[in-house]
Amino acid sequence: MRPTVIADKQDRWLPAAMLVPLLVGIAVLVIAPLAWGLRISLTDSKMIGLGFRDGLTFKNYGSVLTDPDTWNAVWVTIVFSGGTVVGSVLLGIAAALVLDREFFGRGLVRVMVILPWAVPHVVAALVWQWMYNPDFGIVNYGLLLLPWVESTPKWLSDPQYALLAIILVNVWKTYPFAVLLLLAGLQTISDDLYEASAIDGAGPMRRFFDITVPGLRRVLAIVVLLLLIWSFGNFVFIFLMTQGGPAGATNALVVHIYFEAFRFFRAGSAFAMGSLLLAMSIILTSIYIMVSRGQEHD
Amino acid sequence: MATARLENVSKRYPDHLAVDRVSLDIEESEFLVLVGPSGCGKSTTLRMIAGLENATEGDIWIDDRRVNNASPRDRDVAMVFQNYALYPHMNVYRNLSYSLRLRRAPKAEIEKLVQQVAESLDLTRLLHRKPGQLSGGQRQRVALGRAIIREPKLFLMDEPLSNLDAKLRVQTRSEITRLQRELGVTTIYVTHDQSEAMTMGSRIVVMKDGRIQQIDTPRALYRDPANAFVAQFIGTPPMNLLACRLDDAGDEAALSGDGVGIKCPADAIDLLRSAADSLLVGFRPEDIAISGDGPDAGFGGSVVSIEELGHESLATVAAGESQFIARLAPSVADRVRLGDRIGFSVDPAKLRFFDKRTGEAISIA
Amino acid sequence: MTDAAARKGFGRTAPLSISAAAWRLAAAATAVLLCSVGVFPFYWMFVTSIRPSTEIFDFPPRILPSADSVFAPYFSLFAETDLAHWIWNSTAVSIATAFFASLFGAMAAYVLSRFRFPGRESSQVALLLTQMFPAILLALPMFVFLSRLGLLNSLFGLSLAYLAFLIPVAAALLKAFFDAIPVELEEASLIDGASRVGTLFRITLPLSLPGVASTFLFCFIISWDEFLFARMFIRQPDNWTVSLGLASFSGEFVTPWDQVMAAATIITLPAALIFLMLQRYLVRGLTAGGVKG
Ligand SMILES: Nc1ncnc2c1ncn2[C@@H]1O[C@H](COP(=O)(O)OP(=O)(O)OP(=O)(O)O)[C@@H](O)[C@H]1O
Ligand SMILES: [Mg+2]
Repeated sequence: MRPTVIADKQDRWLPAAMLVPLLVGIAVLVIAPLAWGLRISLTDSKMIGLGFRDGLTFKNYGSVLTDPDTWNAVWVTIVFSGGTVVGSVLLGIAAALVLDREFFGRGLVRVMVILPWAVPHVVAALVWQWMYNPDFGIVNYGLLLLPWVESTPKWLSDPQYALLAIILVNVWKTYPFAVLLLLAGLQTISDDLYEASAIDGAGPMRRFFDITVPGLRRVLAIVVLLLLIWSFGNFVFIFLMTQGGPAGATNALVVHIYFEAFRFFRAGSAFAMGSLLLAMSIILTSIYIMVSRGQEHD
Repeated sequence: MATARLENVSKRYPDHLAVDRVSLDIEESEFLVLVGPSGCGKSTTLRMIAGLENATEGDIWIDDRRVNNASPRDRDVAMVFQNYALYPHMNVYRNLSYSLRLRRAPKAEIEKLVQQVAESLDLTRLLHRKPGQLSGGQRQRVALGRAIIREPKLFLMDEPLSNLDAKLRVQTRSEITRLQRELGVTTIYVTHDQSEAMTMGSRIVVMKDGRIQQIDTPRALYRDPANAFVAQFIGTPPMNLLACRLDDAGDEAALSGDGVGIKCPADAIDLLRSAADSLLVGFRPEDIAISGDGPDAGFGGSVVSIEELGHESLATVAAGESQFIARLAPSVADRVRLGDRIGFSVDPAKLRFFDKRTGEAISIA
Repeated sequence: MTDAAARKGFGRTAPLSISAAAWRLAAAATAVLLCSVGVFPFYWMFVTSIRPSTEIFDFPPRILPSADSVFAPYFSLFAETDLAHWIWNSTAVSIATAFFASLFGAMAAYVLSRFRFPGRESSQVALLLTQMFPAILLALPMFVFLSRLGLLNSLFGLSLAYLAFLIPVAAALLKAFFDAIPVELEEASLIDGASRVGTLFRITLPLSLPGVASTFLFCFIISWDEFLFARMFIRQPDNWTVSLGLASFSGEFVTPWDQVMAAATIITLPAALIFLMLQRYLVRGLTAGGVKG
């Protein structure tokens, strides 16, 4: 696209003026809060909202980094995000492959597959909480119908199952996004490749691994990174369904930080953990920018 | 109706000098054509006149006002774009009346002018269509209409015909020329097609690599190209240029080279001496006559291809390193076979000479 | 099935070999399974909402709607809870947020799309970055800011917080739309006598109207759906949004599941409709600035 240069006399001041809301917005609503948060993480501030006494201290970082709860939260976050990504990508590929073929009623199937994505997070949390109900829930009822199942878990209140249960909900909610991106990716793979490979006598499995997977590599990378980043920040499901429990089994960093600040009123260490999360997000985001920008310049 | 003047105008992009010290005087009611190969800076020049691009150096004047820093809307020019740039969300009526509405012209006057323009361009029945529902030729006419409805000081047209098919292009050419004559608006027209330039322009500016090569009337450009580039750019087929040397022997000097062996015109000898051993002799394919192998045959070679055009034939003749094209009447062409060795003569007055090293014409006045 | 699709998929056109038939069967089974997984929770939500409260805790549960279904919860909700008020709050916040995000986003997007200036590239990366931070990182310090400004518990403050991440998203989205509008149209308008602002309003905006509308709706549903900021900044039930109101049900000792599910259904409808309308565009929205859509 050809750039516009200064043509009209308004062009001398208008562009700058039009950028002002964005720049002010980012400065005041994003950069300032982040900087402020970093500053607070270096104080002994107790009550969030009450400011802090001056003086720098790395105490918060020391205590946060030595606190097993922090590492538990990091571990939960990683399992939660990793589980979400694996589940979403596998389901996403399966669904995308199915939807890539033409068949009667494809439009409808597509809508039904994407539906979970359209539901508000709070609604999803509540509906699944109801379905997971250990005594009256439809999930356990369904399990009992299976011949080999004897007893059913108390999903959300059992430390062994709680994280899995929430991962399942998150997969259910996010995999449609993977489907749409992967579907778009599949459509960019040229039919000629499949044709050539079919002529060479390759079977469907071979074709999948020799052509489809390499063709989707870029899109897959993007899907994985975005899902990771979003899962890192996911708050609603855990907060509403388990409150980080039972016994910390689902206490992901975001939730941990929230409780640290609002239940235990340790603002300093909450912000210190926030900085940890920030570091992890920056790493992931940088990778994401590299991958997705690289694609643009191909 | 206005005049315009460019004085040493340059446009420098970070990595590229697109227009290099261009100076131009455009007279009132003139139809000036900018022509040159792709990328030579024609559009950039035009866009600087329109105000869409800022000149890096130099001055641009419209009438007696320096407009370098004026907004396009304050220059009172109208422009027709290559892809027409019709506003897709407005119908033809609103496209035509856009500039009038911006100037808050009275409704009745807008109505009158639109009808008038629509009539002169045969758009009356299309006024309520959107651009998407028009053919290429119709869009083109709307674009023209949008320019003429305002009676601007200058018309600027950037390859307005290049999206039309060949037949429509010729038709629209004369349409544009007619309109320009009727309205008498000073016009600057950009094209990369030299035949379009020749048929339309009252004067032609030939550009190359951001520089003006020559400014002249079509006829002068054709007859007396200022350099080898213009000689080869103007005319289809272009002027033949053959390398030769001046064999200086006092008054009896001769020019010789592959396929060339002529007596040097007496009045030219002194001028040609300056570049004696690297000359180009040029002549138009139609200025050539078959002369057998007679003594006055100055040019010769064997026929390597014949292109039959019906009303005439173009014979390509090769001799050593050189090649030239001869335009032959059908009766003459019938007697020519591939591989024949043929000699030609050219009226000495029609010969043109160029310095091979600089490409500049050596004019023999 | 077209030839190309057949070659691309698992099957082959002819003859239908056994393995091809098996693949087709597997594909069909996958489709059916995914559809049920996608649709069932919605179904269950609705069925629960119209089940007589005496039957809600029946076990084994009845899959089909009860013979004497009741729509009473849909009415009692409005009578007994503040649902109407929450819906009103959410609508106000979402519309205000979407409006200003689209407006400010469009202004920035136009400049990024049309003008070259130092720092243009890096500002686009910055746009992307701001979208990627976990919301809690902004939420904590913002809480402090808003409380200082006396904007806690205020819908205005909440909207302001949403703008922090929605203006950059809107800008990235709209830039793609502006990029698709030929510059010549604007140049023609400038020559025809319009100013830059005039051109923006007469040419660029009308042509990018679908993009602006989609961006507006996108911001609308993001605000409608948001929970974390709302939960942190709004504590007075008076100012609850639908997310907060709905979530408040689940804390109670005996959850009135029929009412909860009725409320959930009501809240889902507008969001889901907009979502499905925008689905292709959403992918672009969520990857805006990074992937070319
Ligand atoms: N924004 C720009 N940045 C850098 N170089 C540019 C820019 N715009 C044009 N140029 C260069 O300036 C030169 C002149 O361009 P211009 O468009 O004037 O050519 P033109 O004579 O109109 O060619 P054509 O017949 O193909 O339209 C070209 O070499 C082009 O690559
Ligand atoms: Mg051009």
